[in-house]
Amino acid sequence: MPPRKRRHPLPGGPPGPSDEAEADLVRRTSLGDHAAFEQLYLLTRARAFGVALGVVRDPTAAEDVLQEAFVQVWSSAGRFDVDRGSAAAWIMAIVRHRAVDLVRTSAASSRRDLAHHHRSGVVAHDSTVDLLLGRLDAQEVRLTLVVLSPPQRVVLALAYLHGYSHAEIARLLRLPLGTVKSRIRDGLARARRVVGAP
Amino acid sequence: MTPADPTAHGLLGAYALGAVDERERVAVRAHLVRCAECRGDLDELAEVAAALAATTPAAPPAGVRLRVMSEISRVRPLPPVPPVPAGSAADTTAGGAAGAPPAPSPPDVGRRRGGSSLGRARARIGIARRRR
Repeated sequence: MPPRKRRHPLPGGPPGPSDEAEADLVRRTSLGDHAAFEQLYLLTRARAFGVALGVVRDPTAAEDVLQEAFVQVWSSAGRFDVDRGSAAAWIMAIVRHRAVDLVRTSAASSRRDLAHHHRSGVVAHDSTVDLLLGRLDAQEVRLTLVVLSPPQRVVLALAYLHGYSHAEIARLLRLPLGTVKSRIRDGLARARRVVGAP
Repeated sequence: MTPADPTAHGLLGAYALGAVDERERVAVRAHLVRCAECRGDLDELAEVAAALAATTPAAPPAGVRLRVMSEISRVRPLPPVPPVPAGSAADTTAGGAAGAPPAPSPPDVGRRRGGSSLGRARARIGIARRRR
């Protein structure tokens, strides 16, 4: 078995200063250091709030997600494993998980209504998609720049930005499940190439 | 350690974004406990998602910071997860990656580097170098 190595410095060298700094703040947070935690919050809040807002849409709900997620960051900082990746990846995953949980459990979500209308034929397919894409906001415009292929962009925007499950996306776009799954994955791979560029 | 469950394997990207339902989430997690390769891939997908998050920042109101700081003063940090044997169903709400509560963070024996296509792709690229 090969020696355990850090996975997360990506190629090209050691982790960047901000990765190191954030990981160190998580480490200090795990020791109960309030100041370190606060600094970690300040460094990551905009990324985290962007994730929460994208998924839940409602700013007040997104604030709640942010608050709950950071309380979880505080309480579980001791479980962050620097060998598995960056602090930012760990924190954004917590935020995303909280946000997605919230939209999945809120039955009265208008998005679900939209899906319902679509299934029941009230809204024709194309206009459903247009309606969804009509919600393209600044976030999605930026994502558009990152994810180059339109089919990947649509699927990834629904999954990444808005927290739809791949099954919901398949229904909305009338695509086979396998197609949606591979577009998500390919879209992420493509995004990695673009956002990853130094 | 080859992907024992092709379904779970294929869902990894969706799982990384939380774009799976509860049943699938459970299946993927069960798979992750057994498959170090997928755990590694998931960690990398989480880095991509985090890098994407840097492209969509939004400023939260200042009040959130005060609420968070007030809240944590009442919450005791959890101790680190004790090491568990690989293959046990350690399910934490903490470590790892991606949308769903992560695969078991501590054991991770048999982690390999650069063996998967994602790993190789990553070796040529370098996401997450860019923070901010």
